[in-house]
Amino acid sequence: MRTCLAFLVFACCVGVEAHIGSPNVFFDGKAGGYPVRAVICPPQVVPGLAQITVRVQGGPVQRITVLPVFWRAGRVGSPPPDDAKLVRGETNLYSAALWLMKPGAYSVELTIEGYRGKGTLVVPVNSMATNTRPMPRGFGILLSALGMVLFLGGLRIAGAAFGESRLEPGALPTKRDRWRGRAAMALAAGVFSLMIFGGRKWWEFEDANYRNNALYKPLSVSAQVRSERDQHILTIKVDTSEHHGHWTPLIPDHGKMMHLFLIRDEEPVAFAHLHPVRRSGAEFEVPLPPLPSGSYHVYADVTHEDGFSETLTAIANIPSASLEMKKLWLGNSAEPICSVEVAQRLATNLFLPPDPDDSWQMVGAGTASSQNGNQRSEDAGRRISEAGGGYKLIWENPGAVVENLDASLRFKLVSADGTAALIEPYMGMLGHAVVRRQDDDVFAHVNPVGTFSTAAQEFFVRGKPLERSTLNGQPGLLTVEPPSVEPDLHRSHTNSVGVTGEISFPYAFPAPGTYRIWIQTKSQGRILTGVFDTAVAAAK
Amino acid sequence: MTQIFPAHAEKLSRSVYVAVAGLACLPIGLLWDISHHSTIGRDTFWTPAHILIQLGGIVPAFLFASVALKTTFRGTPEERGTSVSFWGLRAPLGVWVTIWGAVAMMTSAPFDDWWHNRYGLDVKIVSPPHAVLGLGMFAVAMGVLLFVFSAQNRASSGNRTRGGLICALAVGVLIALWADFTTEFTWPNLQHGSFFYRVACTPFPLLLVLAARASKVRAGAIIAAATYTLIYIGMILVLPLFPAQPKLAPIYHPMDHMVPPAFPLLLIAPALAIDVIVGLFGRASKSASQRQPFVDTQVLRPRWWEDWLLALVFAAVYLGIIFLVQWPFSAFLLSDAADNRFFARSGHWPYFAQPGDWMNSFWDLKEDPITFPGMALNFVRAFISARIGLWLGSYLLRLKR
Repeated sequence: MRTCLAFLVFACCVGVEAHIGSPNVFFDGKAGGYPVRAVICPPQVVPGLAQITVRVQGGPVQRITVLPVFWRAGRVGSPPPDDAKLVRGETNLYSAALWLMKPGAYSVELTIEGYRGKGTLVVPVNSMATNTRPMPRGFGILLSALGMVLFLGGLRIAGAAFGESRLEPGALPTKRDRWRGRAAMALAAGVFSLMIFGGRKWWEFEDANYRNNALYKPLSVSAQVRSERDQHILTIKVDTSEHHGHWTPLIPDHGKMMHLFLIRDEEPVAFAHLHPVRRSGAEFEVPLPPLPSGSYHVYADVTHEDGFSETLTAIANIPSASLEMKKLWLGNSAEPICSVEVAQRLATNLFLPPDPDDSWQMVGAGTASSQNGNQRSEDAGRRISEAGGGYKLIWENPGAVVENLDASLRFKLVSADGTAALIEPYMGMLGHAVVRRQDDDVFAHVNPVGTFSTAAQEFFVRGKPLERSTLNGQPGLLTVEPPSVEPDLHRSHTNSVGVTGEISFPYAFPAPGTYRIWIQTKSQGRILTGVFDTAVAAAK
Repeated sequence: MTQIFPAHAEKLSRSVYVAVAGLACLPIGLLWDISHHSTIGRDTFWTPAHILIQLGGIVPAFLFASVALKTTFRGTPEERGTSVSFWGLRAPLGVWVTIWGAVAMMTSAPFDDWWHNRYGLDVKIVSPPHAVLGLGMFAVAMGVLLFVFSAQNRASSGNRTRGGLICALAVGVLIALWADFTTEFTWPNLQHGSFFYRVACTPFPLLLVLAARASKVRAGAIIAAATYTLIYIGMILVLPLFPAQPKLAPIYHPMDHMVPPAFPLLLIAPALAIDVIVGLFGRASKSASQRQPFVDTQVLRPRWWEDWLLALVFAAVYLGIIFLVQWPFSAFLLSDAADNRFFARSGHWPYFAQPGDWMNSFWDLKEDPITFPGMALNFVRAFISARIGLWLGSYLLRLKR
């Protein structure tokens, strides 16, 4: 029962979850004929309220509805949709709040009705408890003060109950009555103290129960490197013992079971975006390019069969590669070349071949680095990063960045001669961005369509698990009808030969600090990576 | 020099009726709120059920605050003479207990809201902030009870029966309030397990014995039990008349009307036995009336061992009857025969419950079976509960302020 909303503070869009420290879900795309930009702030506790804002471009709309769909119950188990309300003073910005009642994967189904007919889009959202903030000090003082009033008032009532209350009307209390009242107060003090002690124990029990059973904890992952036939192979093993060995199998996102990012902070800095293959239930393997030896932060983006996506983390110690292996991977080039052709060449020579979409980058090989990536061009307000092969990535809007404000990262790819380069699809997208705060508290993998897993989106649009899915036999799982207006699932994916111009990533930095952004795209069959640093200011 | 006023000289004031009516808002509002959460799910501070619950605290609190202000600053000598002192202010004891309860309810509101933001909106009734709220509600109710009983005890002989009736009704409202809080532990599905009898033996005997001992009517326990039963049956019949549907996902159990509460416990059966025993032995022994011939027989002090013996009898009678009655009745409530508007079999399950055989079967038969040691412990619980009920009843009978 909710007793009061007097101090209502909405769970507000900061916290720690998948990705990491960047819980808000951004969508930039189309719903039917309507260009839409949507932001979903999932709650930090479950059950809790998700805040949804939708901006519709290109003209007025009549109605926008939002509907939460839980993965297990499907649309059949959803309530009637809610109307999003037009934000006061705005012409095309709508907002709504939805309760997410269960932990797990939800989707928010947005339906837009207007002069272009009806358009629907489905945005997957993770529902999980992440809140670990303690009680604010001022609030604690207020509660303590009220508690003290109750304690002292209770003592006085006990004294009156056994002192005066049974006297005849008008009679004065005798000395004996007064002493009886005082004894009652002393006894009440003991009883109340016991009640407070018991309440504290109960609270501690509930808190421990929340931390152990409700709070989201990513599965622990080990990342071990072994050498086989002179090749370094990274094994990612998910420890499922905390979940009693239960591991919901994965579904491919952008065609890959896992997107693995390796980041080395120390000089020489290095970055790799790899795609391991599954060896057994929760064990994955990937061949390592000849990265500089040292300690690496490992981030593994995965999407489960139930539509839940998460980022698993580990630390990997990568040894130095042999000279032969470096020569094999780099060939005659001074910088890594990541392309299908190179991958095919490697496949004929390596025990475990790399994925054609694997890419890597390191400083000191004549490629992009954080230093030269941050060199400002003559055109103030832009920043340019070497992306490899003479290509340059230009950050079009690098101005002052403030936390939780729409940053909408926009980049332009230019070739060595300074002309706009043709951008080709890279794993179905025009680009991939990886955002990481220097202290490792924030990590996000962003696509031009947003920050969600497209595999999870596909799961909810399809409305039922894949054939042969382990979920099919589970009790309570409903086969559900897909949305009445089929959303354009792959509108955001591109399979065209390419476009020239900009790529943009809808995002808002969740907290102030120093961030590094890796932008990956593809041109003439070559995967290109640019690096940018930026400082995000705190909101005033 | 303080003047001593003659007892039994007062009429029942209007405040007594208003306070009891306000108090009744609490269990009714809670049942409505539980139904709202089970049917619709989504709520705000301003749902009718929440407003009714708040009224249950606000009406007695404001009423009694005005009594306290009047007694302190503009009270007649008679009014001041029937009050107790509290931090320099004066009012009857029940007034201060109710105001204390209202402050506790107010305290629980921001605490509960913080709790929801810290741990999530709770889907269970029992949580620490709800315990503070419940404590406040019970204090409000106890305050009303003290106020009503002191009015009964000061009432003129012509008004004493009416006062006793009001007192028994107030205890019945308190029983309903306690039943609301123990809803999760008293479902028919649990009534073939030991835990149910543990819950049933703790507060209910206390309240029934209290009603029988302290209210100046012959059938105090029966009136109290009937009040509780009628509140529940009324809600079972009325709530499903209102169309409603869930507004939160996931919905596993679709519905188109407000769900009713589960059928109440048959407390009326042990209440009947308790009233009979009190009528025969509990009011005053012959020896006591010989010792104090001119005192109201109900206020006579029994010998020290008489109430202990009486508590043993009450415990045995209560546990025996509740076991004999609820055991077959719970089986009936889970059967097809109870699948109707009155008994509302399975009608109380919420939208988020996944339908299944569990709804109409007994739970925990292996994990929590009825055992002799378990029932012996339940007997001890019922005995302690009944003994406290007798003690509290005796206290209330002597309450004058």
